[in-house]
Amino acid sequence: MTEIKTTIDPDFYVVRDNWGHLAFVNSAGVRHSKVTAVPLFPISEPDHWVSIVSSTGEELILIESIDQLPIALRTIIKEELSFRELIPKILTVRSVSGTTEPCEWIVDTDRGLTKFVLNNEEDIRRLSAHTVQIVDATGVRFRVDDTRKLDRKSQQYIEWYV
Amino acid sequence: MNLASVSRDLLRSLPSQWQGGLRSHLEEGESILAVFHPDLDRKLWFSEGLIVLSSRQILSIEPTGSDNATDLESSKIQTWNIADSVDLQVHEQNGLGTIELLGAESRLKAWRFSGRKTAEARLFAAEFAGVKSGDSTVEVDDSNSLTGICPSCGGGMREGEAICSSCSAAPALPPTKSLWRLIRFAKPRAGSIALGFILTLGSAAATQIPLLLTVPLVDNVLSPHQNWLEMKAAGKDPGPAVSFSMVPYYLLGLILCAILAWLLSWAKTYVLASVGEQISADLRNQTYEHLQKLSLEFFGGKRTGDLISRVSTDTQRICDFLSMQLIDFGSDLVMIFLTATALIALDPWMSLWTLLPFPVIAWMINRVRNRMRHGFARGNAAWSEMVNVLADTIPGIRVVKAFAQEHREIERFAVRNQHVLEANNKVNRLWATFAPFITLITEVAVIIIWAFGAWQVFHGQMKIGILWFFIGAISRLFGRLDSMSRMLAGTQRAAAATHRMFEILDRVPSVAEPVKPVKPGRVEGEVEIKGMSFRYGSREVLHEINLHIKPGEMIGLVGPSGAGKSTLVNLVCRFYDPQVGSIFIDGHDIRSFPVTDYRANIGIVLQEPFLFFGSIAENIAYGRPKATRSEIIRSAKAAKAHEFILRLPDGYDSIVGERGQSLSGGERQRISIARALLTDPRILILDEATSAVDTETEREIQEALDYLVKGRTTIAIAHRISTLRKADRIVVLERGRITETGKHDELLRLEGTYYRLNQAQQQMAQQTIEM
Repeated sequence: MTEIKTTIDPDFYVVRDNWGHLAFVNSAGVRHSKVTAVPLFPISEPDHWVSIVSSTGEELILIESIDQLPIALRTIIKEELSFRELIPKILTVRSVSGTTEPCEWIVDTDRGLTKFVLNNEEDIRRLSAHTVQIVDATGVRFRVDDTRKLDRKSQQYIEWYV
Repeated sequence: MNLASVSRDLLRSLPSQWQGGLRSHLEEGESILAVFHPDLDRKLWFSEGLIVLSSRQILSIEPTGSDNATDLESSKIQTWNIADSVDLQVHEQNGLGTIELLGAESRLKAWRFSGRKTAEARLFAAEFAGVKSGDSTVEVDDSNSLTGICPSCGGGMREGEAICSSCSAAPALPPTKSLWRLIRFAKPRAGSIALGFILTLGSAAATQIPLLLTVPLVDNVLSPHQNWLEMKAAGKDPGPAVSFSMVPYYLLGLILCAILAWLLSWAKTYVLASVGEQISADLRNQTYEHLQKLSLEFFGGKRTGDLISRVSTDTQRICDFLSMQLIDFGSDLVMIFLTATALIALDPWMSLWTLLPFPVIAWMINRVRNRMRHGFARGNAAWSEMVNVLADTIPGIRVVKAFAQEHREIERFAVRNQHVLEANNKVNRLWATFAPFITLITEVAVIIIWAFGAWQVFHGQMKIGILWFFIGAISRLFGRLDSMSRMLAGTQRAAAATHRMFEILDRVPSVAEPVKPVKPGRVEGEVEIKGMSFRYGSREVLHEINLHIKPGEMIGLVGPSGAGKSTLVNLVCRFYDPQVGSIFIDGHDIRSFPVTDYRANIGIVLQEPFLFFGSIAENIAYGRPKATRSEIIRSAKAAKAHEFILRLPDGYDSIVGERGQSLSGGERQRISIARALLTDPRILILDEATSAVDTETEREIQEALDYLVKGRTTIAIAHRISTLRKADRIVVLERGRITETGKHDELLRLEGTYYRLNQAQQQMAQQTIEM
């Protein structure tokens, strides 16, 4: 119920058009098609400070908190944000092919089982005290939100590096 | 290769459960042209799907990972006629890719894939474009199309490369094997090493002889004499008295052995230590040499502190290992071997008992080894992290002080230092439990010998001297073993260091030297860029750039920052190679030139001129160290640097600091212009050469620059349009594409981006005047 209380009534709306793109209509009724939603703090605060940017790169509106938007709008923006980037969250590390790089990691992520090649020990780095980011050989990013929540074995694999 | 066979091959390469379903959708004579496997479903779960391009239609099996529908056979096949579809587009950002099939009025379908599939997706889209344009004569030669895909990661790859640049590190060997790879560096010093080893053998033997001399001393002299005394005391016939005459010879032998051992061990330590030092010096040189050959791409991804610590600290660790620990290890090994041989010769059964704890220790060492090495690797990494703080804050000290953030930097350093401490403590803890355990085993072994030996002596099966020898030998043996296990730490430390070192040495420069180089000599300076695209990671920085520059022509490159201007000139300098398209100089692809010969034709003046530590003359002559003094002065005069150099206390011999601290921005810039002038390049790059200075200084530099560009092909990047007034042509670059080209006036008439830029700058200038 708290959602409704904090919901603000926005003076704009966003729709998805036939082409799968977002379209933005502002308070004056001006429509911008092919807009994108850009999180300004994708790592530290992904659900806040989201900017709606026009196809020419201009900011149309800055939303401080998505959770304060009406549910339809929130869903569409969250969906757009999820298609913005691919950062699977690692849930367990099943195996690592060797102690030296390049090595192959087989991991369970929030998007299912996958494997990737780690090229360099520097590609694993701490973002904050317990958040770790891994960049694989092809530049795809993986993230561990909280190393403390991993099982012991997975923790050990990651602690080799950070 | 005919189409039908390609088609059959492609179909057969698919999982069998899909083949049947696909066949039922294909008409007679319809061929499969390309296949792509999107690896994400619509909720972005990892799962395998399929898109097939045939001559008539697009067929797809949706990836369905998140729906738990693992039964792929039942997956529905969707089809779209090529006639109904307009375009197939591939987008990728932040590791997430999309293939969109667009119809006339809406998007027909979108598939998602992860960044590793981008190159394949683009190839698929290119095939579609080929079919759509009705270019049926395009032969699908899959051997050719596959050269674009890296075998190790599936990413994009340039022609002629065996592996793509993101995987270019050769598969590393296990770290302990890295140590063996040091042999490559040991080979040139084989003679000294052999000498050292012979000395090691000698000194090991010399320390072993005294032990052997004690055996006859006890068994032939002391024990019989004691017996004789006891017999005599008991009133029995003691027989002939034991001769004492041999004792001085035994003692002399002991002394001589001690002196010999001392001499030999002195010689071996000296010889091997100097070899170790030399090998690590070679290693440092090679690493630095290799580092210099690597492309800018490599340095972009590495931190200065880390590289410095690899070249300095890690080589020092290897040196310590080679010159100190390896010697000990060698001599320990020889000692153990000699002792074991002597023991077995004296009493095989007893030796068997004695050597019993060995396998236990070997097993333990093996267990501990890997954990130690990883501990040391962590320690080294933590160390580089700490050095990184130094490399970060010392050049940036002005910023730190200006914002009064000393405390924070001290804190940051302390945190990193704490990490070093923790990493090392981890190893120490491991070591603390391991080393005493070895000692315990040694003690137990000695007790076993006492027990076994006492029993044998009691039953008259062994003489006391032999037992004495065994006890002496075994204490030494396990003493050696103890120091060998200590060595283990050093070996693992060195193995970790060597591994880090080879990580640099194994890196293949991504700007590859041509197999059959064409000597560029002195080029005319005609530059032609054809269909060039460049992606930095997953970000496309330049898109299909086409540009022809005549010899001697000056091109002004303008555009908002981030438009790809610097990338474009970096590509012309061949700091990187483009993924698509190429650059021709005088009609030759620049990739066919040897890199250094080609760069000799290029002069570059950067926004932030970098002066090395040394005199001004040395800095001017950096590109041509053999230049005469008069040449140096001539180029300094042409660059308008002569006057201010005259005013410096030591003239051209004035030392400029690490970053030329004592000179102003404009002065440093003029020195770097003189540097470029001296090499007399055919192609000149001015990368915002006047952006960092005030208008007054800019005017001074501009004069120098005007002289510099005369008769040279010039690409000048500038923010201020005023600096490009002499340019023959202006190129406007926006979001990686060339949007406008032409003369100043032509572009103004276009009233496009350039016009707006010009307008804005004139207004600014106006305001400044009014103020």
